[in-house]
Amino acid sequence: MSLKVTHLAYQERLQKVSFAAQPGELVGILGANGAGKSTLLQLLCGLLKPTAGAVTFAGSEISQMSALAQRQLLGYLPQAPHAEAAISVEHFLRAGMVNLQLRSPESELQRVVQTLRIETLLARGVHQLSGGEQRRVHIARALLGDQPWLICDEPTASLDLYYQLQVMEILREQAGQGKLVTVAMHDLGLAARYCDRLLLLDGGELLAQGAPAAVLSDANLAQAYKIKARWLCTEDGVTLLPSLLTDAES
Amino acid sequence: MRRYSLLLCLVCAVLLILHVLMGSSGWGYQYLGDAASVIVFDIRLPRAVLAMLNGMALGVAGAVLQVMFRNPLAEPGITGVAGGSALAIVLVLYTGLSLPVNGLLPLVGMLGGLLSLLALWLIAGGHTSGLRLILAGVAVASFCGALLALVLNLAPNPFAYLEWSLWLLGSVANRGWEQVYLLVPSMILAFSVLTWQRNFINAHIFDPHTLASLGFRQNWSAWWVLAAVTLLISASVVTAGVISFIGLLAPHLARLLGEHRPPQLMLLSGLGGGALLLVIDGIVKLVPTTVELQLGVVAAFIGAPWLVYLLMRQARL
Repeated sequence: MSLKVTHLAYQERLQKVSFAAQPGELVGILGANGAGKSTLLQLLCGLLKPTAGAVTFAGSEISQMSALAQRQLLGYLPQAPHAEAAISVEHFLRAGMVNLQLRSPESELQRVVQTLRIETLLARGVHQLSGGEQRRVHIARALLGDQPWLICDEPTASLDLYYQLQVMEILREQAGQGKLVTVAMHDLGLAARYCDRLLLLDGGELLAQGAPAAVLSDANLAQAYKIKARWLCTEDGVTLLPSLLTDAES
Repeated sequence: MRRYSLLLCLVCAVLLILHVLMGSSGWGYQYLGDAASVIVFDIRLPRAVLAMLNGMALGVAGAVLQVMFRNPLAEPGITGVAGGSALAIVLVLYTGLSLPVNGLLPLVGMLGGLLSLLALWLIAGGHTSGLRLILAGVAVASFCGALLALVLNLAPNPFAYLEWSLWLLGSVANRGWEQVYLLVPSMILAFSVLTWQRNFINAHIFDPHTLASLGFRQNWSAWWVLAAVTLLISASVVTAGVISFIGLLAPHLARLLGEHRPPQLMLLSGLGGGALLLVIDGIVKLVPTTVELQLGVVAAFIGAPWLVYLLMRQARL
């Protein structure tokens, strides 16, 4: 169930990206706006056809799979998910079970509801929820089916600190259960704290990959984000304080 | 939802009976004497059934289009299908093409509707996403409208011009069971396709990126659904002319009842459309005018203020 990405390219947006990942890993994908994070995720889950290279998961090439086969393999949370109709959370999640071929839809619903701790939200309308509550519901939708691979595009965007930590804990938990979790994100501190491995994109190219401490080096951050960073050691580990480069430094 | 479905079924049944009992010279049928049976069963009943079925077809078509295009203002006219269907029929009548069987005229209308759908697909570049398809639909509808106006302008005589103009405004007057028999198979076929694709339609509650990851062959499914909607609209145009606004009003009526789930919305919108068109045709029968009003005129009188209300409500949100 390992992931292998070889020389992946898509138009001018992404060039020759290669990496591998194993089940149980939480892989963070970093980069400035327009660096190619979302394009990479859409290529990973087969929504875009690569102009070169291939994405292989468990020995099968994603772009050659049927949409139904891709559905059984991975759960995808897009960058700005939203509900188009004013329906209840329960109906929203039930609709999200489509094409999953579940043996017991009821127990699957209970599983994700308990995982995301959204029992009290089920009867409420999706449109009536706060941003954090909505994000948890969308993550619950992406977790339906218990697929071996979870792909999330900026799951902590626009969330307050409490929900950011909660979402990252949930993703860490999913990786702990043996899933491969690939997450595009902007928060370098959260990435350093929760991810096993990071990929840093710059202008559509893979600038660095590896352990967080190695990827988030001064040189890489200066090139990819035009920032410098100061690392602080805390009780929970390390955290990163970014600041803009001065004219002389850049 | 079941409660509202049953209620709307009951409303349709009551309106159907009232419609049949309502005559141009009074209520009931006793005063009609020996001709009662012919008038009730061969004139009033097919007219009422045709009004109800047309309303249902347009109501379902409107709901599906609004869901698929993610646009609460979408309606059958916006795809250009109604215009394409009407244009094909008028062209056949204008050129005096003799068809082997008169019953083939509906097929001509459906061909026109499908050609509009093909033009829509070509202009939209094979995409089925909301805004692009809607803009392509507006282009197709405008072009069909311009061609229709040209054909009417060049009508061979004033009587033909008047006849076609009135037909374009929509009517179920002076229709018989043959129109009902033309409409019903199309509705059964279209509803079967929509039922088959109900999961795909239902998945439009998700944003486009999420929908793309849910395991559907998106373009394939979208075009099946749009073909079914085309069939519904074309069959309606062939049997009753162009009836505007029902496809817009009926889905919003269903939403006012609190239903937003696509399959349930389609059902309530279909029943609501049937009831609405029965009411509108009832008004057409009741209003004492020398020339009977056309359905499209009365529907527009109700639909236009409704559209303004929807726009104002949307602006407040």
